Amino acid sequence: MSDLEITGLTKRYGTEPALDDVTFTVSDGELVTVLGHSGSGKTTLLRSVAGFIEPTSGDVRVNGNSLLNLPINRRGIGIVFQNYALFPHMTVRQNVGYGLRVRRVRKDELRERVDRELERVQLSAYADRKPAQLSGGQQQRVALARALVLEPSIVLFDEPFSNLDAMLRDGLRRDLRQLQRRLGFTALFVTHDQREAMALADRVAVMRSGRLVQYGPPQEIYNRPSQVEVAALLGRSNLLRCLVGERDATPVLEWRGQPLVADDPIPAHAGEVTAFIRPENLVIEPPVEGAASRPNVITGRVVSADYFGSASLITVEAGNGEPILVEARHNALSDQDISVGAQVGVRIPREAIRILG
Amino acid sequence: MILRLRRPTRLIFPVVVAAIMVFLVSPLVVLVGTAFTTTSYLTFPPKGWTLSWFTQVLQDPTWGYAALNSLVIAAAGSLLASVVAIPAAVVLSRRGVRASNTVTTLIMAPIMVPGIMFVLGVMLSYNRLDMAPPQWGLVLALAVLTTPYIARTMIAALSQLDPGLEEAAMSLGASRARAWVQIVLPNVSKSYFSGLALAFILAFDELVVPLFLAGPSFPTLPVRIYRSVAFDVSPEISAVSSLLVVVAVVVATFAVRDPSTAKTAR
Repeated sequence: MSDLEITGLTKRYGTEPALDDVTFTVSDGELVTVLGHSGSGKTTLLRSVAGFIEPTSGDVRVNGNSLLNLPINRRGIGIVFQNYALFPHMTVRQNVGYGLRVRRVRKDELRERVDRELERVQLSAYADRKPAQLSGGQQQRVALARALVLEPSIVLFDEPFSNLDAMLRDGLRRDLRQLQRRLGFTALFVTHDQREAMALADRVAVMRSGRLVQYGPPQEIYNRPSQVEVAALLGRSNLLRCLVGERDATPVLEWRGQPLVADDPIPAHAGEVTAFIRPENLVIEPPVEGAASRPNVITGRVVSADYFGSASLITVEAGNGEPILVEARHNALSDQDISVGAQVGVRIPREAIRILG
Repeated sequence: MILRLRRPTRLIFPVVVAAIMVFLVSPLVVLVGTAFTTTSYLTFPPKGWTLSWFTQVLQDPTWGYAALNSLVIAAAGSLLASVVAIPAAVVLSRRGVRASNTVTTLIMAPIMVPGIMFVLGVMLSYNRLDMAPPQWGLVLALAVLTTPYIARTMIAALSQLDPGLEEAAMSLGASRARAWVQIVLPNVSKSYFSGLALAFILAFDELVVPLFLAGPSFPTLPVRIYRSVAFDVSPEISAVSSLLVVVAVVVATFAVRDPSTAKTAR
C-alpha cells in the first residue's frame, strides 16, 4: 500500500520559487485536495510528483522510495488531466487500453480489463466512438478509466472537473469519491474550487505563493484557518481588524470602538489582530437601544439582502461605517423578513470568533 | 462558420467574390482553351477543335524527360526539406526554448530573400565547393527553399496540439519516443502532408532555381516551357500547361485539405 511523502519540495525558476519547501504526507488510501489560486504552486506540485517537472530540491517518496530518479513512464502514477488529454485518433476502447498495450498485456486479458473498466464508468456503449464524439462528462470518465485500468496505487487529478458545468460536477465528484474509497488508491487532487476541495477531501492542503500554508481536514481548514488568506480562500468571511487592549489584566478586543469578547485566546501585546467570523455564525436580532457599548452586539442598517432560497446573504452597515456579512438560514416555518434599510442588531457569539495574527 | 452581414455588405460580398473568381479563373480558361486550337499560333477563343497538341506533347520524349526530372527533384527536395523541418518544428513548437525566435526567422529566411539573389548566392557557393552533379545542388537548393513551408505548417500543428497528449501517454507507461510515434505524430500527419504537398508543388513549379543551377542536359518542366516560349510560342505550351493544371488540381484536392475540419469529422 502506498503513502505519498513530499518533503521540502522546492522548484525555482531563476530565483523565483514556484514551489517553496513544501512538506506533507498523503496516507495510504487517503484523498487529499490541493487548494489554491492560480500561481499558488499547486500545479507545479502535481507536475513535480508526476515527473513533468524536475524539482530544484526536496524529495517525493512512495513507501519510502524516492520517485525523483524514475522517469515519468516508470513512476506508476495515474494522472487525470484537466482537459482530459484523450488521444483524438483513437477510439474510447483504444484510449483506455493504451497503457495495457504499452505494457504488452495479452490481447484477451487487455480486452477483458478494458471492458470491465468501461463498465465501471458506464461507457460500454461508447467503446468504439472517438473522443470528439463524446460529451465533456463522458470524456472525463474515459480519462478516469484510462488511468484506473492500470490499477495505480497513486492517482493525480489536475482540476479534472473544471471544464464541466456545476450539476455534472457534483455527480462526478460523488462518483469519484465512491470509486476512490472502493478501489483504495491514494489520491492527490488539485483544484481552485473551495467547495470541491472540501467536499472531496479527507484532508485539504492549502497553497499560497508556492508555500503550503495549512494542511488538515476540511472542517479544520474552514473553521480554523491559519491566516487571513486561507479564510478568504474558503468562502465568505468577516475579517475585522481589532485593537488589542487590556482590561482587568486580560487582553480584550476592540473593533472600531465596539468591544468584542472571544473564547479564542488573544495574544497579549499583539497591538492589532484580525477577528475572523463566518457569516453563517452571526445572528440577526431586533435592534436594541444603546447597544454600541454592549460587547458582541452590533447595531446597523441592512444595505443589501440577497435571497438564495435556503439562505439570505445580508450586508449590514455597522454604526462605525464598516460592512458586516451575515448569512441567515431560512426555513419555511419561521421566516425572518429582513428588508433593505431596516435597523437590526447583529450578535456575534463569542465562540464564533477566531483570532488571526 | 456563419457570417452575418448587413444588407449593403450582403450585396457587395457576392460581387467581390465573383470578381476574384473571374480574375483567378479566366487566365486558366484562356490557357486551356488555346490548347485546343487548330492554328499553329495561340488564339482565344480557339479556332477549330483538335487534341493534336496534346498528342504531340505526350509523344515528344523531351517533355516526358523534363516532367520526370521535375518530379524527381521536387520529391527529393521536399522530402529533404522534411528531414530538416520536422525536427526543427518539434523543438520550436515547445514553449520556452531559448533563441527560438531567431531560429524561426532563420528557417523562414528563404521566403524573404529575393529568389534571384538566393540563386546567385547558391551558384557562387557551389562553384567554390565544386559540386559535381548539378542535380544534387538543385535538390539541396529546392530543399532550402521549401523548408519554411513544411516547418511553418508543422510548428502551427504541433503548437496547437495539447501538450498533455504526450504527457498522458508517458504517464501510461510510454517512453518519450513511443509517445511521439504513437500519439503526437499521428495527430499532426494531416498537417505534414499538406505542408509536404505545398512544398512539392512549389519545388515542381520553381523556374529560377533550376534555370540557373541545372545545366542544359537536365531540363525541368518549367525550364523546358520557358525555353520553348522564348523560342516559339505554340499551342503546345498551352497543352503542357493544361496538363499541369489538371495535375495540380488533383494533388490539391487530395492533399491540401484543412486538417482542422478533417479531424473533427463526426
